[in-house]
Amino acid sequence: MIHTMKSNSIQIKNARIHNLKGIDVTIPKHKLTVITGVSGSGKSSLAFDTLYEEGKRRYLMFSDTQFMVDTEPGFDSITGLSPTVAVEQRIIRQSNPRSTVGTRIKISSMLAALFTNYGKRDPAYDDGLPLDISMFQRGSARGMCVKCLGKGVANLLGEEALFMDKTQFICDVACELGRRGSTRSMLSDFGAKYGFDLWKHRLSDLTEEQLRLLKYGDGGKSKFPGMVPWITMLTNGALSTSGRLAHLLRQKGMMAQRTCPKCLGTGLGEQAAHTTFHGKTITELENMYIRDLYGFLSSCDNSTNPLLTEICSKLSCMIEVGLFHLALSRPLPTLSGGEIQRLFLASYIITEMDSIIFVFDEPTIGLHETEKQNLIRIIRCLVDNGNTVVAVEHDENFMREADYIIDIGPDAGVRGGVKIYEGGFAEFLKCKTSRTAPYLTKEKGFPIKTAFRPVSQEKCLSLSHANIHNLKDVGVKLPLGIMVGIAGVSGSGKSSLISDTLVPKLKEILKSKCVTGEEGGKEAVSPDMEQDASDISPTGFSNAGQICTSPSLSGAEAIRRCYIIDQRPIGRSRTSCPATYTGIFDRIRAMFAATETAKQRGYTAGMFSVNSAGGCHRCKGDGVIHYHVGFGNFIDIACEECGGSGYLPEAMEVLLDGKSIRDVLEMSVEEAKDFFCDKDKNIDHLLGILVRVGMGYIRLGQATPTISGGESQRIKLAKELAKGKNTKDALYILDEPTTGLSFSDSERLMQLLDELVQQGASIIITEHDPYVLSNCDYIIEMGPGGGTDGGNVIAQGTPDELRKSEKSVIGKYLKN
Amino acid sequence: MTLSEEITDYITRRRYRQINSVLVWQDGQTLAENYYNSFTPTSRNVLRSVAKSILSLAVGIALDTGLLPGLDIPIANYLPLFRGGRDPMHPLITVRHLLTMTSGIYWNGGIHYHCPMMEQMRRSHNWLSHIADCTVTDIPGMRYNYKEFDVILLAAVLEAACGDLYDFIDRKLYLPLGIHSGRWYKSPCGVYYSVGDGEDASEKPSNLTAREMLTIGRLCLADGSFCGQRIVSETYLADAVCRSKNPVPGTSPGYGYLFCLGSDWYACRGYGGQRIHVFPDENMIVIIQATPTARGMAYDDLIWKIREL
Repeated sequence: MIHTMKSNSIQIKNARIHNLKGIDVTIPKHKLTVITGVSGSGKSSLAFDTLYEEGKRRYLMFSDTQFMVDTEPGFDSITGLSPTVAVEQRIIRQSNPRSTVGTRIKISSMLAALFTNYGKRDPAYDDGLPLDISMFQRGSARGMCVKCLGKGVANLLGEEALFMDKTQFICDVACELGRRGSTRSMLSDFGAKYGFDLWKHRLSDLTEEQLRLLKYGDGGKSKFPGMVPWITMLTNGALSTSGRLAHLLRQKGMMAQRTCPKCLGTGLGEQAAHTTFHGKTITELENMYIRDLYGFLSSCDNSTNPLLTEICSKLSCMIEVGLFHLALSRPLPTLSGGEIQRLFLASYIITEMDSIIFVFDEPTIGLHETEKQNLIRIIRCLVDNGNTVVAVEHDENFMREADYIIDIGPDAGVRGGVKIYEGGFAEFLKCKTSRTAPYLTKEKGFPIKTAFRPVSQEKCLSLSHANIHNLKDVGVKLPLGIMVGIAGVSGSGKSSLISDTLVPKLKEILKSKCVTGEEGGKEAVSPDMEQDASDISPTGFSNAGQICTSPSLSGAEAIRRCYIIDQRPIGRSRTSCPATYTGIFDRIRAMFAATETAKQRGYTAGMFSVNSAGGCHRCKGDGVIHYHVGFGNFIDIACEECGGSGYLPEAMEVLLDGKSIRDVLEMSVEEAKDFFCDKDKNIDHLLGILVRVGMGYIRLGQATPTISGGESQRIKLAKELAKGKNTKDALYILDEPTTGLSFSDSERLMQLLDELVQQGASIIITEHDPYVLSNCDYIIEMGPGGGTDGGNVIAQGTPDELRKSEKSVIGKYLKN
Repeated sequence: MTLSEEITDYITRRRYRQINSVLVWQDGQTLAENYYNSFTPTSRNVLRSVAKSILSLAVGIALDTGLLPGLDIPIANYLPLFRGGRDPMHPLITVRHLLTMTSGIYWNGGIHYHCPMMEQMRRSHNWLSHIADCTVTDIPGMRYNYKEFDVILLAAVLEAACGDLYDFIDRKLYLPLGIHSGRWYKSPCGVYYSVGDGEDASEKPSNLTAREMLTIGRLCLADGSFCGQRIVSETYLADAVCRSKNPVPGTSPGYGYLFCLGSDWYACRGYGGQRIHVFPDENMIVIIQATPTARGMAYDDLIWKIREL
């Protein structure tokens, strides 16, 4: 039967995926609908797993790019669908580490085309052959400068400085390089051969010939290649595995990072480096903040240049969505979830489509209150242009702007999944069963702190000369023993101050007393990536070649332990999950291995891990098989062999109190807590803390890639808290810890943090949320704007003081 | 079937349409001499990397004549750009490193003649200066990494040590072997590079006939003598094609001094199937010439087939 009636709504009947309890909803088309509810209540199951998945499936089916796969649908029917696009934070977080803002949004290739066709070539470097787009792409082998390999900066080893102090022992040359690792053994063999002892002899004891050998080696006769080549290799070359040595040498002035002399910092080959557009190279343009770049390009006469017009219109879209403070060269992995989401939003606005259903995942995350208004306006534009927007959102103002509210709940997991309310906002406020509405009506106001802990002048971290990125020689005191909030608009320098200045300094001073939540110190892959990323970041460039005063930190001796709890994913393995990360999985497996059935059959704990003996042979424990269906789309089909469990059938036959290992992994933290409370104290304890940080809804076996940054952070926090270490004089550094949490969950988390401070801990939180900031004892606000307009401390004091401050931007949004 | 017929049969069955000539020589006799695609004994075919091995022979001759004092001398002695001003690793690079592809200079794979590294170099003002600008990512001698840069530098070193490189090769190697080659391509900045500037025309003069390639194989098989005349010293050749005596720790066991090495064979190998393949124990040489295609075919199966026959 063909429906001829034009539908004005999307109707979903009997949605029952995950914890949804067979709900019917009607989403009006061409309107802004907000789906809200506590974390884990089933909002995402409705918005993403039902609406988006089906919308995508039908569209792909229709456009013939995909074959049909019959999977059991999680609903009876959906009518009124049009092509559906999801902007989900967790999925797009996993992008290619080399993508940048410019490459993602395709402006980089347009700029390359602009330079190829309209660039002005320096006659001295014009070989008469045509230019080619790839010559303007630093990431491509044809474009990259062969000296700095596209980075634009080169390390210059100061030989003289290295050997200047003749009284130093040989083992102490180059920041005690010879005292450690492979250098130590190579150097002692080398010394034995040439008659010196690295521990006993000073540089002044060496003959000129010995010194030459020490510096430059003996031409390959010994394993030790000489200090100069060896250090060059460790800091620059193929053996360069950590930025640590380079960092130490730079601090001591033995190594300088300077603009690459070959490409003059452009990171490009000769021809491209000497091609300019209105006096600027492509790299200079890519390193400008988008707002400045837009200003520059729109001032060029673009009436006859369609490419330029196009680039400018794209840039204006990016400014619209509040990404003015980024540079095109900024690597994608360094963006926050909110920024990534807005980047995708910009690319949709650019395409100017209508009649699309957009599904957003908390679009206001990471936005300052002033920026939220702007974002709401843009989303409103999408709706006015004939699109339908469905957003999963906790933000109060966003909800107030919505045309339609759907509330799922009342609680998380099995205690949720019911439609509590659907309809307009005004009516929603009257809904008594909702966990959200009372917060909106202030009936159950988020408790706001009124008494602030006093700030101690002695007990504080004192940071000075912070200059990285856009920071303008910032000096600031971070009081200890209280909860300190770091506020500021996006790009104002919050992260530069905390993650890029304070944290590295603390790591350096506190060493092993600094816990980063990484599993095993050896896995320091991502910090290196960041190192590289910062090398090519815009400010890395602007600072290259200049000598900046390095930042200094005092007061760290008052800290006994420091926990840096960030939003990086937990675990790296595709099969890692909250259970494995927190360590309870080992205990659970042991419990399974201790059951009678397992003992009779001789199964060990390994049988209950998909990474070990228990993994399905077909899908290697994934439970699903990925098929590429063209156009970069993959479809996951449950593995037939194991029925999607990832386990061998034998492993699944062993039951613990009626549940198989898979059943246990499918449990939410809250369910598992009920299940384990009388079985294992440790597990119960940890699960209890997970509930307290607001993670009661997460499944024990939820795969890492589907865990958002905020969730990762809270799981890490729970893991550290569960260790039961004395929290007195501990410092916790958190980055927007309430991201993705509903009001009631945020409230619980804030209580927990407040208890920590009560027990003597210090907390530093980077945050936008006015509720969280209002509950800090002290706020340091960065700003006033983003990018070049930011980088200063504009206000500091208690929330009350900031509310009264004229300089503060956040002040007027703070709650009281 | 005769050996010659068997070869043709095999090539037809495998549809090796790009093979132009196959020569099989053993114990002083040519056992098969097949030409395809209207090739004749006087037809000339590209050398590609076979020229690397020819350059290696030139190094041997330069050592014998004392023009090069040894393999472990720094290339900086001949190339002032490599004295260390551009990279602290440069003074460590020796002639031996170039011969064994272990200079440590950055190289980004690809099909080497047309790889991005070569494209950038060819568009630069000065090839040597461009290579001197390239970052050195490995300590010289530590890692084998097949690349054109090392060969280009070697040609420049030889030129500095022996005078005009092509004249030197022609006089000391080609003339005694009876090879009539054209003058190799010389870059605008003065470096000999047999593969040329990427255009066919510039590479063409260096082309050789199959029989000329065979004489090079025979020279190697006879430990450096040809028709009773000593051309390159036995000791150098032994080192150049010997796996076990490889003196540099980081070198590849499959690569000598610009010669490819196998368990019981060595070969001059060029892109697209060019081969001077020597089986010393069997006193046998196989020559293959082919038109290179983008696919970069190798016809090693044909060589093993011939060895079986």
